[in-house]
Amino acid sequence: MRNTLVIDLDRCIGCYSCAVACKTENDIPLGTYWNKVIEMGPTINDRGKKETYWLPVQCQQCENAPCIHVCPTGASYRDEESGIVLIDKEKCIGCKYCMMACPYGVRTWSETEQCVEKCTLCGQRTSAGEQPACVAACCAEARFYGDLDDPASDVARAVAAADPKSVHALMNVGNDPTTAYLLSESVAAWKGGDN
Amino acid sequence: MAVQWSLVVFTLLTGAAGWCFAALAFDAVRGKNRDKAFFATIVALVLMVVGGVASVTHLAHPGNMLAALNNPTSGIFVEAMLVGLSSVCMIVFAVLVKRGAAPTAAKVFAVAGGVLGAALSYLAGSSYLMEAISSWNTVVLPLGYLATAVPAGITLYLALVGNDAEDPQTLLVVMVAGAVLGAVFGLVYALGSGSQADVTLLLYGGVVACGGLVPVVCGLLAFKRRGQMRTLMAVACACALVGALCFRVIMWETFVLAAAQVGAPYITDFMVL
Repeated sequence: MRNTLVIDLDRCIGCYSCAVACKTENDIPLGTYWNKVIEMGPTINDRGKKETYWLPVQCQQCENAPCIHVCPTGASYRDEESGIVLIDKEKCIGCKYCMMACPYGVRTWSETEQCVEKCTLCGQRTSAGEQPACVAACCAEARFYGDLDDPASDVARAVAAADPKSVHALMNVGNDPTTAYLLSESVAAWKGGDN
Repeated sequence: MAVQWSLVVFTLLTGAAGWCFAALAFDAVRGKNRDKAFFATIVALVLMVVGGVASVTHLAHPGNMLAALNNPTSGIFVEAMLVGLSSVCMIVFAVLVKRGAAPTAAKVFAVAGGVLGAALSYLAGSSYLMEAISSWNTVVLPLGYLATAVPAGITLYLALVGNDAEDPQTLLVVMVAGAVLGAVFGLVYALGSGSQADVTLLLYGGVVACGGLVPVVCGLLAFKRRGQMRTLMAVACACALVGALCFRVIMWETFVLAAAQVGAPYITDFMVL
């Protein structure tokens, strides 16, 4: 099972609703983010026109997660039932090695809880059959949540419906991120790293 | 990610302590400078303990170290074990030297502690080998940690031994070689990391001039000016420590831009430490 997010950047309008919904749902302190929207551009494309897209970034739910490998206490782990990479806050000793090992810098240090935190794909919501807060709040319907291994899931269908050339992932340095980004070349050139 | 000073101090002090005791072990095996062995051991032990404590302050709570010790495969566990075992060797050696008992056993503990302490200087650097950070993921990094610790530790030992040091030539040669290698590894690491971080002053002023050139010059002078051994080695030690510190800071300075190279240009926005 590979529960993850697929984000259609052709649809994303950069409204930051996902980032706000994430902070509200998970009570994330001021100045820290589990999900953040990065403005990519504006840049001048080959046709001499300006192009910009917005790149929401959160835990990429890597198949070969380096954060799990470096954790000295097993606090970073993969939930056997959902396949989601999570943090056991009781076990986290605050060494921050996982923050160093994450290629995408999506883990944050919580001053209030004195442990590392990150996107949990809103387990408190998905376990009750709801969508993660960022997916539910997306007014452009650009975010999809589900199991990539289930052909009937929203994420599998979104990827299957997209032009293979439009399916991207953040640069893979051996960690195999599962989060997919859909961005057509006609909208903007992908700048988030190689597939 | 900002410079993690707890980890910088940890690797700096334990590296110097490890190589100080390794130099002492070399003399202990040869039967040289016996009258200074106890004092030098105590200094190395204090540095090792202070370095270890600095590492613990990096955690959310010092008591969390106990949790890390439950997992013997982690880098933190290995480092903690090396700090603990080398400290035990130092303590036993100091007791045996003070009581003048079991000279053979004392040599065994000296060699064991020296080897463990020297190994720690390499392994502390190897903990940072991560695929996610391209500039860190090179063997030059732990080699730099090792090489910059060599002059810091040996000059500290020779400064403690003082002007009447017996037969210090071999240690001086190793110290000079370590200083040269530390500067070379510093250059190779900083220039080869591909990072555009501005580390010019840290590299050329700190690692090369302070950490490499000064200890080499002091070492060469000490061959002929034995009467100034303590002064020369004290100056060399201070500069070697500054050089080793700069090398470690450069590693952290390259972190952000290295992250950008693997597709995370926004990494600084997430990092709140």
